[in-house]
Amino acid sequence: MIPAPDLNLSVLLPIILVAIGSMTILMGEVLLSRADTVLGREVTESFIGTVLAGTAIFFFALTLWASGVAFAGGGVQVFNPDNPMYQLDPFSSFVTAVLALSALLSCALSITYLSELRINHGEYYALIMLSASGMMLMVAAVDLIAVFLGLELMSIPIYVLAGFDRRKLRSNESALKYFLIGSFASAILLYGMALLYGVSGGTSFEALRAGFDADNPMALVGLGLVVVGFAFKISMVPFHQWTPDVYEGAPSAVTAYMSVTVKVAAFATLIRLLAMAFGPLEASLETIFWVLSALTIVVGNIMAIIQENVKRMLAYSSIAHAGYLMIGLVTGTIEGYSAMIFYLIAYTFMNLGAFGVVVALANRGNDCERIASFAGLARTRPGLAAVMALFMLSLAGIPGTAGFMGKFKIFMAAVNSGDIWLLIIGVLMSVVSVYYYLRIPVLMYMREPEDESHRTEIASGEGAVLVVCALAVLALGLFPNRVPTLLFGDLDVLDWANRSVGMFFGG
Amino acid sequence: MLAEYTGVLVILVLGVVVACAMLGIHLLLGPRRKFAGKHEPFECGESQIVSPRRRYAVKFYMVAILFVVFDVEAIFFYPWGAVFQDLGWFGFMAMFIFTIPLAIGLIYEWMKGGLEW
Amino acid sequence: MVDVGTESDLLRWIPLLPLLVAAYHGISIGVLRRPTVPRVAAIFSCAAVLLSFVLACIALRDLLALPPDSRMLVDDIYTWIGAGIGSRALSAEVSFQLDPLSAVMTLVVTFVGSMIHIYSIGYMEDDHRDDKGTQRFFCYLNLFTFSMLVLVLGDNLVLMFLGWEGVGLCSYLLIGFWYSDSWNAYCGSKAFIVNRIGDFGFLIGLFLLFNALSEIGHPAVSFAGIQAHFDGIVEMTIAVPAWMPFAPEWQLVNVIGLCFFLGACGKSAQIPLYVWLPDAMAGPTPVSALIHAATMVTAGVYMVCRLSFLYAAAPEASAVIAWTGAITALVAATIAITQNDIKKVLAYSTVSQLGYMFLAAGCGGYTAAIFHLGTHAFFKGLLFLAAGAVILAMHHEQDMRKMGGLWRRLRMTRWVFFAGVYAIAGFPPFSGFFSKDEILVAAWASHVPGHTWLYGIGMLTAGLTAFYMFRLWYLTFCGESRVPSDVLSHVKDPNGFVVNPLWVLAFFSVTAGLVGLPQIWGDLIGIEESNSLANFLKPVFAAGEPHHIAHSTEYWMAFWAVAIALSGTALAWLLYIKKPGVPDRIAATLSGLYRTLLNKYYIDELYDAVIVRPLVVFSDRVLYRIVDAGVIDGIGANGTAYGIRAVAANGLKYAQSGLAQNYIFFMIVGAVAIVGYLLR
Repeated sequence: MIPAPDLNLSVLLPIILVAIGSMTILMGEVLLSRADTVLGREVTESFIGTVLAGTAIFFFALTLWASGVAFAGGGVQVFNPDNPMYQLDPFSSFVTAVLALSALLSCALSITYLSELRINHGEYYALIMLSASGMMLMVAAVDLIAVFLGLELMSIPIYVLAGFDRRKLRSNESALKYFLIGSFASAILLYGMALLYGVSGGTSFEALRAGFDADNPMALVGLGLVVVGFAFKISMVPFHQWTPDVYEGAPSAVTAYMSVTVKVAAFATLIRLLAMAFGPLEASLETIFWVLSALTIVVGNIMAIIQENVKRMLAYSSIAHAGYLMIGLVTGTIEGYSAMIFYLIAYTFMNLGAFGVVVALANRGNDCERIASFAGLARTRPGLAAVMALFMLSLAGIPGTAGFMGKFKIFMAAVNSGDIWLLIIGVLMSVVSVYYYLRIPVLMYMREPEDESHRTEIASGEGAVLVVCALAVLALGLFPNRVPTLLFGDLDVLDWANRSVGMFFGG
Repeated sequence: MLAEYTGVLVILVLGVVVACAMLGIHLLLGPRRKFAGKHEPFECGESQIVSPRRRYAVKFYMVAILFVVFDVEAIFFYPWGAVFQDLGWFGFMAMFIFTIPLAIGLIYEWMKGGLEW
Repeated sequence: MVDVGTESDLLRWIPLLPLLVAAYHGISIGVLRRPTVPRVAAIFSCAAVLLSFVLACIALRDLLALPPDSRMLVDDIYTWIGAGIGSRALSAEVSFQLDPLSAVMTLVVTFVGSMIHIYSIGYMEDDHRDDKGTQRFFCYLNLFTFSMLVLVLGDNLVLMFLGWEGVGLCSYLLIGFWYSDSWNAYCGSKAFIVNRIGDFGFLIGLFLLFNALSEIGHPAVSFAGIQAHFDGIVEMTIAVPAWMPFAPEWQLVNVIGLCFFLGACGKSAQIPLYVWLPDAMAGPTPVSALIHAATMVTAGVYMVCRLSFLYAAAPEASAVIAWTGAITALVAATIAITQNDIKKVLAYSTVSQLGYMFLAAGCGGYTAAIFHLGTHAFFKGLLFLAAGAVILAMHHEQDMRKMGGLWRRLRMTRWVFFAGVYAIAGFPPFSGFFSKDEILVAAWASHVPGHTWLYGIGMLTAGLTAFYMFRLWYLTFCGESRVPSDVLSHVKDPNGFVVNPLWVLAFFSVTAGLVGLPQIWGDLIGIEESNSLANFLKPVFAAGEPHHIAHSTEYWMAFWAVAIALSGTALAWLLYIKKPGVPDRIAATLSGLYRTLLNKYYIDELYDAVIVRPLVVFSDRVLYRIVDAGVIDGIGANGTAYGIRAVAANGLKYAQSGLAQNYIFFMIVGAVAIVGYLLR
């Protein structure tokens, strides 16, 4: 008789909830599409879409709640004490909550958009949930195999989602490119993991930390390749080139989703990996991250200047933001990591918001793409123009917005750890970024509208997402340590960020 | 001790003998006609050099992929079956839960018409 | 450190209400671009200011409930600017204080403000310009009210400066309200720029004062804090260059006082910075009434009174104020005689009356200055609004030479206008009589060098005032009508929104003098402490009241003041009713003098030639074309911008080929570099 392992299912509760949600949606879709009426309502494509989105939002809300409760509880639990693959701790539950929230907002953003683009298929929400469950697995993983499993579970649905508008050539191109290069990066990552396993004789982070031998070239090659694998996911220069093509080709709602969640998940995993497995190697990695960060900031910002397509511009902007975020990795301090977490939250809201406006402008099967088409938006769609201007200001890091507070924290961490030159590059390039971010408000407020017909009314889902994002951007920018909410009192986001990474530093 | 593996040895030898015999008999008895197709590497019955622009039936690949999925899953069942008794209820429940997503996948595929040719 | 007064959360709402409504207007026209229905927008604005007035009345009631020596309400909200430590610690609070002085100002601002807001509803409905923007107008008006209230209620110099700049900004916006006419825009800019010169003085004074206080270890910007430690800096001196008169050492408080007075000159249109006010009449008439007659332009007087403890210790600065005020009063009055535009006459009259107030303040008669400030707000506000009513009735004709005989057509306007003219001319018992009389008494009794001359100038100005006001009255309302007959048949009283506030203001123009009834008149009818305003303000101005003079002298002075007002009136009657041809003959005989006056002593031309043109040429040729366009824009801003863009467009762009295999190639290069570095 083999004894049953002492499993702690509550560790995986958020992931289980999301997985159940995705299966519910799959079943719901096939069942609904065979019915004529449900509860007296005629079953149309958009009705199915709304119901499924509602289901997804419901499950994400449950996940958000579950991970929030886990975070509030604190403490560290592992799934299987004999073989600790997944770990529930303040860090993973906090990042899971952020992921659930951004996935929830993405679903709400997609409802009308999918109908508008005539790609209203039920699989959409199932794929979103599957990839979200992959991300959650990845951030909870304390074992290389679990990390890889999560990474693939995250990536494969997103490859599909990128090509979701399957009648459009560019969407196909986007999916294929992402898939090809992504597989290549996965292979590199896996190769690195294999080498690390070979060196340390174990795949768990603990085993890596114990068995890592910095004089062994195999270990160093393995480490380098693992970093490359993650660098691809968070689009660091020079592993970034897929980003503009994929972001541009994918449907805007998908871009919104993947531009924030993938980045959050990959950065969080990288933080955990570095803090838990490669702590002693900080010095040699620091130089690499320094160079990558500087390159990423410079290339991302400079390339964004010449873009005429708003999605490409935002893609380069997201590259640039990845560069700013990496400054936190360079510092390797608790301050730097917690600044990264805060920045990721700020980035989530402002980027979702910016893409949300692009989504809300999609009209009759066409995405809103040219930057020039924002001209005169303040006249035709004043509310939308106002929030777009807010998101642009936040992305540029103007004080009073979340973007500023995030940048401020990151730069502060850089000052305190002595990375002055990186800070100078970051600040100078922030100035450059103002040029392309402010172009959109300038067009919206100071030019006459073109004839181009945008959608004239906003759907309730999109409206809600934009309002939430705008309020969050303002609240995080003005009172980061006491975000006022109606339901839960004042929230101390800065403190949360500190607590979530504090566990790596024995806090 | 090695005697326990006698059966394996027998199977190995028999297998080699049977395989060689089949190939040998075929070589002796079968007719030989050479044509171009025979010199191509075997690739699931598809021609090797065709225009990429032509239309082809995607269903063929669909079925193949679906088969691979279930094939791989079946692999998990074998070791489980071998120690089914020892694992007890824990093993049973674990495999039961493992089966649910599979079943849902199958149902989805079926109802979506993925199995219709 | 200082007695802080009684807490009252009420105060913050007095300025906040207009601000909220201004913000509402701003958001609805600027951000949402969905203007509210004009009438509704106007009603919001009026309601906000009226509510502020009601709150001010409640605050006044609370204030009066306190014992006279500790009458001070404070509302400390938050620290606005906190900087420095130790003896250099600057802490500017957003904190409001209501003492008797600011109470008087607040009441005047909110009350006259409410009347003018209501008047504006009617006035702006007649606005037929293309860029019609009633809501924009009310937005600015409310923003102005907010700024003015911050100015008078602020408990420190920094907050006062915020209000000071705020009113300047609103003044600029409102003068140029009809900006599509480039002359209006020019006038707005002129007002703003001239005011900036004054603001410069204000700031320098503020810096000097703060610096001096921190040198003695008590850095403060709040009035209470400054006053508490003021004795420590009275004896300080400041070195000046040898070529200055009285070099090398000046008393510091005199310098500070002069700096602040420069600020006051800008805001309150005194020589040499008065030139903007007449041009400011380009704005809508309610604006002229509210900002350029009743409230904003009196900010300088208020500041001098607020800093009375400083000026009491700075006799030279006070003398400069008194003489500047007197000369401004006289010069502006002489210019007003020859002007033909009804609003220009009132504008110069305003400059002249402001000079009067400074004359009083410089002579130590702070109560008299505030008294005249209050009565002037009523009667000059009234006169402007009534003139606005006339202008409305005349279909935007402002030239008095094309009016006359309106007595029969404007049956309501004529009465209120008449009340205003009597009040400003200084006939008893109208309000102007008492306040002007008190100023003359203050001048007579003061110790300023040449104070008898000041009294004389004051008397002369009083006579001129009566003369030009009755000239205006006769030209507009009496005599033969010079209005074209087709226009005349349409001339009638404007609607109720316009006329009703006039009655209210007229009532106060007539009676407001009674709050400051001099004791000599009170004794006659048996009232103790009849000058309730002076008693109310006494705790604020404990520092420097003029010595009392014999009662008989005071009676005689009142008599002569009435006499000179009467003679001015009589002269006006003689010249413009009895013998209407005479003025032209006088003008022809004294053509040089007449043209000098008509052209305002050529001061504008002088400034233009000496200051404006050289500056414009220098800034255009050198600063703009070479420094800004050439160096900063060309090399600095655009150069780097084009450079960076070129890096992307000519270099980095080609790395982004769009081919997946190239992407993978770069990834391999990157991976090799990373691994290579690790293996080094």
